[in-house]
Amino acid sequence: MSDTNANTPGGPIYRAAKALGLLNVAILSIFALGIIAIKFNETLLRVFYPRGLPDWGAEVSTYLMAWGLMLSLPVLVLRGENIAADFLINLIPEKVRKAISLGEEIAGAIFCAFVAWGGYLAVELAHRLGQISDTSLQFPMWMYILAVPVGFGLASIAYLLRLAARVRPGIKFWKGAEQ
Amino acid sequence: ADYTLSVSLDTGPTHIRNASMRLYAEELLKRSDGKLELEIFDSASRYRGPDVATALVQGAIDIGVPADQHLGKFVANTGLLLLPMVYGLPRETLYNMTDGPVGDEVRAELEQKLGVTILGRSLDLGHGTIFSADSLIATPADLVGRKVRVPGGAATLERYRVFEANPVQIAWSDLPQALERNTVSTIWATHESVRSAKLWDAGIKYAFDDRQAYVQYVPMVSAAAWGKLPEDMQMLMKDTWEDMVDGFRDTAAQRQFDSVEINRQNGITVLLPDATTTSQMRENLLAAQPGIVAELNMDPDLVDRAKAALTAE
Amino acid sequence: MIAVFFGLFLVLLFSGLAIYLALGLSAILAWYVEGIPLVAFSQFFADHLNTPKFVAVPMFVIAATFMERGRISNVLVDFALSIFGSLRGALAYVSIAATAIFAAISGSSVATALAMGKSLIPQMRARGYPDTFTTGTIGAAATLGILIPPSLPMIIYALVVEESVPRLFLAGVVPGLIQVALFMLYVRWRGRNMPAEGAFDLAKVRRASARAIPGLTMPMVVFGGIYSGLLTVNEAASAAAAMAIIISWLFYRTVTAGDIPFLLSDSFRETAKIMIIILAALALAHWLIGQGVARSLADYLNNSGLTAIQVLLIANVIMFFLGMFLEVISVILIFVPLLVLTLDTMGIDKVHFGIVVIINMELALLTPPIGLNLFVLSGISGVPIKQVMRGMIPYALLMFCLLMLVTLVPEISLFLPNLVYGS
Ligand code: NA
Ligand code: NA
Repeated sequence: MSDTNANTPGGPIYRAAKALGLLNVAILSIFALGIIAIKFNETLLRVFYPRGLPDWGAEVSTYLMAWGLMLSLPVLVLRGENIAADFLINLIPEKVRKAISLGEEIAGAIFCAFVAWGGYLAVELAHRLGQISDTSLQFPMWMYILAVPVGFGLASIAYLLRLAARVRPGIKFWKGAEQ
Repeated sequence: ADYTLSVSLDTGPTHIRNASMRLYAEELLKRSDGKLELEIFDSASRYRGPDVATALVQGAIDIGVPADQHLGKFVANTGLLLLPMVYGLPRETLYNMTDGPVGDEVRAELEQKLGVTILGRSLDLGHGTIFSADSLIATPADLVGRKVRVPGGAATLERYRVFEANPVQIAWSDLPQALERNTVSTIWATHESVRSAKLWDAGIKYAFDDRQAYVQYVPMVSAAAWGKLPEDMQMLMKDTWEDMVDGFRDTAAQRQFDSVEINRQNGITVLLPDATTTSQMRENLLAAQPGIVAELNMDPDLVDRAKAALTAE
Repeated sequence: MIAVFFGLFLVLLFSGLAIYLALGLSAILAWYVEGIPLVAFSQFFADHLNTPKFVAVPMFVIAATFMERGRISNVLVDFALSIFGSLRGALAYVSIAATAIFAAISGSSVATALAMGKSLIPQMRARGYPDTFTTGTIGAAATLGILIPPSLPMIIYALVVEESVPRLFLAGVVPGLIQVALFMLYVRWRGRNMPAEGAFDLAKVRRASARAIPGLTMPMVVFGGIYSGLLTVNEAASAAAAMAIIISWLFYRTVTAGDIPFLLSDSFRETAKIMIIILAALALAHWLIGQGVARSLADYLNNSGLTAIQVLLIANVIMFFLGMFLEVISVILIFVPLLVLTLDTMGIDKVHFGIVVIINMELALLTPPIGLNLFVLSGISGVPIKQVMRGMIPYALLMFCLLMLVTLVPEISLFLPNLVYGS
């Protein structure tokens, strides 16, 4: 996808987008390497020192995966990379297709906002009940569940950005920040 | 029916918990003249075991019967039946604790904290047993240094640390493969569960029935569902449960008994510990109990009263 | 009510919305009408993400991404083609075989499709295979992920019907090999106009194999690790990811240190694309299960006085229909529990029926409107779903023949487990 309003990148939006994008890449990398490290450690301990095997390896690597997947959502939305069914797309007239794509961005923003709101309620509940994991880590579950409202909240904002870019194309500077 | 409540269970249709809930549903339908119907969903088709309690709190399902092990993350005191003091005791003795004031107190704490209604006394699965694929286990001392699969639950993990074994958490569904590939060769489970999964095919050859701990299920109704029922229906549910629960427990015990026989027929050698071994191991474990209770943030005073209920004849 | 929400879902889907959004919007509305609080909807997502088995998926995707970008898969493919290159369509055979081998370590067809698609599609493209054929071949072969053991759906099935997992796993082996053979026969038949890589040349083999040695250690560690019991699947997947990073960065030097973070985050995104569809599909299925939709169908089967063969055939039709719209595990959870007692009374072997279910579910991965392998292949290749579908049709027809064969001849599935464990 190329931008027609090719203003030279470099404005504040461009720089903010670039910084956030790199932050996202850095966090996901740390999570991925974290999972690899945990699994490597588990393998070594099981072979050489089984008594030292922690009971939270599976748990923590699952949390890292879930956070990583949720933090990927807003980037998928910004890049328009979510998979769509194109079975009948050729039968739909161009004009209607444009209207649908506007509708999709509005619906996406609303849906993700609802899931984020529900996720916030779930976090709040887990926090209030003091819910912990049943391993020796006794991990506070609200910190895990928080991945859902954060991921979907950011995805909702990403849809809003795409909507805003329809009115103010200059906002599309974020595109220039993509690797 | 005027009132339909959904029941979400994470075990298969023939499991004792599901069979009991079906009988309960039939009886409720009969006693309510067709006004009160339970619709049962098996095999975790709606919620998985660890997720049932949260779904009840949030009002996403009407009835759930979660295991104690899955309630510990909300109320630590639900771990009583997994503590060392339970070691080696028959179910009749355990009922002194779970059906008396101590049990009532735990149920009240659950109701208060989760906002659910508990129908009554717990349903039984039975005693856990140690199974092994590679060598006979005759005393708990044979567990030293061994990797043992446990279903999870902080109290269970701690107990195995006292045995100086290495407890590893493996989900029930992953167990056959873990056994076949020798990821573990020793597991903690019940006879009924081993029978239902035909774990002899996965290599299980020995069983050691030292009655380490006991598995129970708590019948719960969500606040939303309970609130929709008129008082007479609420009474009917509780009364019917009270009338039937002893029968369900006896059936569970009978099933475990039958399963031992089936497991034997499929080549599993079942050993019972002698009295001295049991009492000695119990002493060892009891010494570690205060530490476990503190680690899990259980109420030491409640645990003391529970212990008293278990030792009073 | 079912018609309303399914109608809504289909309209949203066919209007070209993101699939997760079409599913998610229908699901959240259905939950709302059902009176389930919003908090439970989001909790449902959190609950299902909290599945340790899923960890293997992004790890395998990382491994595949680095294999592809780091040219490890290129080197391995060169090696395989140096041996089999004289055959027309050699790379198609190699891809099917490689996918079957990967299926022997992964219990999920989606993970298999992601990993194999990611590493093999660019290879087939570069050698001039048409996109439709490429995506169709890999997408269909990846369904083997649930037929060749291990298999997550088989484990779920075993829990539901109280059958032994080792027996079911073994029962999948022969039908899995038959499926491989059928696919290869199709490639042979199509192969007349496929590329070949030239005659066998020992010197070429020697050169290619020397270069492939570092790359070959990877499948060996993963395979050996899992089958010796040394590594769990998650550990093996992580080991594969680590090895792919190190080999492409330090041995082949095809990836720089600066590329690594970007490839890691790409892999997460690639996984998230599919995972969010699965989550939304599960949410819609969750609601559908509550509607007791399959109950009436199963009641009919239970009380119809049909013969065992008739029950099997009708069950196949029902599952095929459910499989068009639902994700595999959901179909098993919705339909199989209702049928358990019938199986017993009709004397249908539960291992045999299990394999019938699994092959039917392989087809479900390919059938629109919700066919996860279609989405995966389209997602990683950029080829339109319609085209991917066209490529899969011949394979789906072959799988249909396999389904009928296994349904009507129980011995195909039961022979091996009965031999090993006794009948
Ligand atoms: Na597999
Ligand atoms: Na389908």
